[in-house]
Amino acid sequence: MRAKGLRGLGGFFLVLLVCTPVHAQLSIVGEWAGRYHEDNTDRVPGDIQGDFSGVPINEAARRYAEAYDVRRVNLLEHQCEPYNLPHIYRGPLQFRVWEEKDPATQEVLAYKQYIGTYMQYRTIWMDGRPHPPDYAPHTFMGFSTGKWNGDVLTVKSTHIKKEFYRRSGIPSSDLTTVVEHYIRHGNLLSHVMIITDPVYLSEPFVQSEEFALMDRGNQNWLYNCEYVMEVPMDQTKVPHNLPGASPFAADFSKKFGLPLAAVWGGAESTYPEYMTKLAAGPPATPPRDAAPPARRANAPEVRSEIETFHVQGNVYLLVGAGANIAVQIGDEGVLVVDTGVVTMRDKVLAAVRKLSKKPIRWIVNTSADVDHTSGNETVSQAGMTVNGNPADIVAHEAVLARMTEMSRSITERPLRTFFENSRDFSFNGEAVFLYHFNGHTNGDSVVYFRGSDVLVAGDLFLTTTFPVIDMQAGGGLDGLIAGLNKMLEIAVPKYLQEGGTYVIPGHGRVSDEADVVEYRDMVVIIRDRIQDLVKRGMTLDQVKAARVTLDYEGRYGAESGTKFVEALYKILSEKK
Amino acid sequence: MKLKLFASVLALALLAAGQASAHHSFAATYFEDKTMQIEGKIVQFQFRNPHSFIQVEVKDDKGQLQRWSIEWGGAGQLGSQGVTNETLKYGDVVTIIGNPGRVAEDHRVRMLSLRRKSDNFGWGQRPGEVVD
Repeated sequence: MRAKGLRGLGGFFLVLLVCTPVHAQLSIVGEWAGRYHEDNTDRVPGDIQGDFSGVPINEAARRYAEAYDVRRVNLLEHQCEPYNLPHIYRGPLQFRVWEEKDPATQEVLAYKQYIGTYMQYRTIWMDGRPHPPDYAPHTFMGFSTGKWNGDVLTVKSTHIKKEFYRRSGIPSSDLTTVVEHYIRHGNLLSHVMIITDPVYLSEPFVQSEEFALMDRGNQNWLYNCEYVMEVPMDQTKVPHNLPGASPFAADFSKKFGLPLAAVWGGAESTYPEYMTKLAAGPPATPPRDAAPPARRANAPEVRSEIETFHVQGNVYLLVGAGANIAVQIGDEGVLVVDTGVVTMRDKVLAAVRKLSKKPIRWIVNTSADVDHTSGNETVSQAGMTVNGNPADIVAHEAVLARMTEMSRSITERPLRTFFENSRDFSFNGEAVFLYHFNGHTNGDSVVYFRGSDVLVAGDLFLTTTFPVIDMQAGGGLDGLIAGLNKMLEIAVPKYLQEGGTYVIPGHGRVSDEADVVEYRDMVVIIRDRIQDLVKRGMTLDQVKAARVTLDYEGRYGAESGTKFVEALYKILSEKK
Repeated sequence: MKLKLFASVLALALLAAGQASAHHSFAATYFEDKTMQIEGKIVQFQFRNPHSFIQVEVKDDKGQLQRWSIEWGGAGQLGSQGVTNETLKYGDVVTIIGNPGRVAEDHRVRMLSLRRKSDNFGWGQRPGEVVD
């Protein structure tokens, strides 16, 4: 009887073993707390100003970091920006991991993380889904997909917002990608990050941290960030240091008796062989890269097919017809903001018709540029006002003037114009606002869909190039900055400075306030640099030689940077 | 036993620091090797994250009221020290000692200690009462 019982028990365990899938993975579920024996002084008390050691920074990063004034975080839009993915695991933190499983198969669909530092959530998709398209919004934690390689969970992340590798101002760009490895050893979890940033790093930046499984949790999981006027200051002024004028550049070097060239040395200084070089006599100055950082090519603006992306509410983005196109749909009909290049006009119309069969009532042009307006006739003629006419084309009167000068056909021109600073009307159950600026041209309009909470920026805001001030078309610097500030005034982010109001740029990806504020900051900083040089009597060639756009060229391209400098120099010289 | 206690205290301090030290570098904002004292009336107490701020009206040399922004710890960190959003009130007259901001026209101070005149309430004298 006893033997039979034992045999039964053996059979039971056999069944259990059979039921256990052969590919069962280690679990990373639990609450993990950081251990700080590694890089403690950097990670816990925080970095000292001028500490750029150990990071393979390039010349653009040096320039950015040197210009960074930490008081920038007092600006309302910066106060609640959290650390992004490449940065967050470095600081003191705890995080919780749990699994989301397919109820039918019990396969892990995703690992979810909650990080206590700023109450951030993160999802690592394990179901093989692709990463979003290039025009999708970015977030501070990015979009992540994972795969087990043996007992190592490898995670790849893209679509990460710009932030910093260190609070001292070493920037990370929004083109950064991160590969992480999670390796569990009992109750310890090793976390390795390999960060690639074509804008600010000359080679991949590798960091590692250790976490311990917490036996019991603690109560420190909550963090409600609230932006307020911390210090009375003009919120349109961007604190920064002019090139060569940072008062903190040598702080770290002096404190630890390290050669400045080593602290600012970039990749070379991160290898052991560099010690030999130092022993032989440290270089007097940090290395200077001769060439600007190579820029990753933008995604094509004219594509074989139009791609459609739901931004939020009633508003969609059409990509692939040159400039971005926004489409608002609803019970009353369709409103189209800009209509793209001529070669894609039929495909644009087909894409609009796919979104809604209701009549196209309105077209709004954000400028007269041909890459924004060449589908006007096709889309307008396919639409119908309530009076039975082709869809009305609305724009600032300067757009009509310019299109008339260009001898564009009458059916392409906006005949519903306005000359005041703003215009509003209701359509599809929400208020629609048009705001006029002399920025890119003298006829720029920013469109705001209040219910959907989507701004359409036109070429006042771009994520692909430096701003384009078309001075022949009446564009101006003050109007450009005013337009960007207006967008910042309207936009309200959700928690942790992301999402909330979305912004469709004239070209590039869907953005939010955090992206616009970076762009605004850049414009103001470059303006201030050029203004300083103009005041010192420098010629255009001298200003160009000073490389005032260097820190952003890897992101927006040296060529558009040169044109931006030329425009600013002309404007600021005339103001002098 | 002592080591365990030390480890717990250290861990707690690290976790608290995790939420307080994330905002920005103090060294770049304030002269950490200098101190100054101001006395004035509290007009706003922003008990919040990432850092709390106290707005204080202070009479300058010419008798004109000048607003000073005093940077304090985050709500989480101060909460663990017993500070709440009711600890300081509009109208409280306080004396504050702190590090002056590097840009004089910002009129900002990083709190090192505070003393309220009416009841002698103080902060910054006991162990752990620091802003990091």
